[in-house]
Amino acid sequence: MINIFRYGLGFVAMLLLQIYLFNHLVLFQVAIPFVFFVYLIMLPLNTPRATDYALAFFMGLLVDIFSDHAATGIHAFSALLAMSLRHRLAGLLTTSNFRGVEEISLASQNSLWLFTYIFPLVLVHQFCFFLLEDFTFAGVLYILWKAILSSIYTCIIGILIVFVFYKE
Amino acid sequence: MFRLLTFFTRFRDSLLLVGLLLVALYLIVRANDHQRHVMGDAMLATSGQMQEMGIGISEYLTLAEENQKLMSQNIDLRQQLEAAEQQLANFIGQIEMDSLQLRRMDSLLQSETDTFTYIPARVIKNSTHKSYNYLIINKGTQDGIKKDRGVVSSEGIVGRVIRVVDHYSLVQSALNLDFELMVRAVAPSSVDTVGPVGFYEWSGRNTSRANMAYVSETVPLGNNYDIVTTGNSIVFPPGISVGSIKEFEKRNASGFYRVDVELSTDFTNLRNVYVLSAPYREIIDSLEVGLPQE
Repeated sequence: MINIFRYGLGFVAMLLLQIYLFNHLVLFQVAIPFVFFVYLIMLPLNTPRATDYALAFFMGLLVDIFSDHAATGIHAFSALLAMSLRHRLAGLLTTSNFRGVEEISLASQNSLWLFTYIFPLVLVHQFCFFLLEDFTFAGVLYILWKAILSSIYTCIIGILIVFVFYKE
Repeated sequence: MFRLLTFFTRFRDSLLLVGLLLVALYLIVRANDHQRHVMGDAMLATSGQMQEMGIGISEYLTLAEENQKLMSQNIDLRQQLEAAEQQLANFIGQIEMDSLQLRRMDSLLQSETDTFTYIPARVIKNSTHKSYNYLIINKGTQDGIKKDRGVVSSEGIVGRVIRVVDHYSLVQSALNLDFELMVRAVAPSSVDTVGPVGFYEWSGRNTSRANMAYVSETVPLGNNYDIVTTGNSIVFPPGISVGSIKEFEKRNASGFYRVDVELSTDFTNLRNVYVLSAPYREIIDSLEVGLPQE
């Protein structure tokens, strides 16, 4: 119950931060931090998948609607796509004998583990986002470059936030 | 039934994921101008290619008719050439009058050689039965075609280019309720180009009839008057045939004629068309960049 309250508050706070702060922290006119996505993948792994997907879709849609650079549906699509990969990735990264991916506690992992978990997912999200924004494969190398830069940027801010708010 | 139910419960999450992804994709393509246009262009190119695949056969079937048409056009052109040569000879006679007039005449000829350029194209898709008709032609940006160029056939006006991709263009047909054009009625076979001006409006039903609106009742009008383009725009040059007046009548209240125009272009049988481009069109267009759009 307390957890639900905490993550609900986090949802609203992250949405506001993304819309009013992170959307304007553009670096070198290339890199944008989409930190709200880090909140999504840091949801506990034992959250039902349906809840996972619904949250990713609606959060993406809300960010779409309230940011002036994004077109409707782009964040929703890319967040949803990247979100659907997170259980698989968490399973790949954890070699010890857990009974299921659901039992992995994200907050208790070390920073290297967190980076290898967050970075690929953020990269998928951002690459998908920029690709949909352009809606053509013509400049795919530049889009990849943009996605990599933005992902590094997002990861740095994201991991800082994780250390401040998620660690005991 | 039970199996279906277990299937749904087993793949419930994946189905939700795919469903939400499709919703997002639908939103992207429908709600955003840029993405919708990219999608539209891709569809136009595909549809153009598919139409062209089947066009070879029907082309052979109408070869004789097409030949006949080209021949009559050829004769027309030859007659025009003769008339033009006659005119040119007259000009040369006049030019010898004095040097001042010669210079004036020279500049006149100069302006006449700066005529519209014609790019020949073939119609590969055409509709006439809708209220908003369009055609697709097999020339595009690669052939120098740009948006907002006029399209004519050997018989008269056809429409206006409204979207261009690499090898195809979408043309808004004159048989389209949105097609706008200013036209002029001139007495048949008169050389001067004065006459009442009005708006071309397609009625939306008959493929060979249109109306000419807003012609004041105060001007004289006659049956068989030719309807031609005014040249008040850079889309069409002046004097391109639109049709001829079939009948007209005065209406009591409005103060305007009701003019019924018989179109000169046979839209049901279009094959070869020409895309027009005004001289210095790029420069003219660049003048309007930045002006507020209506």
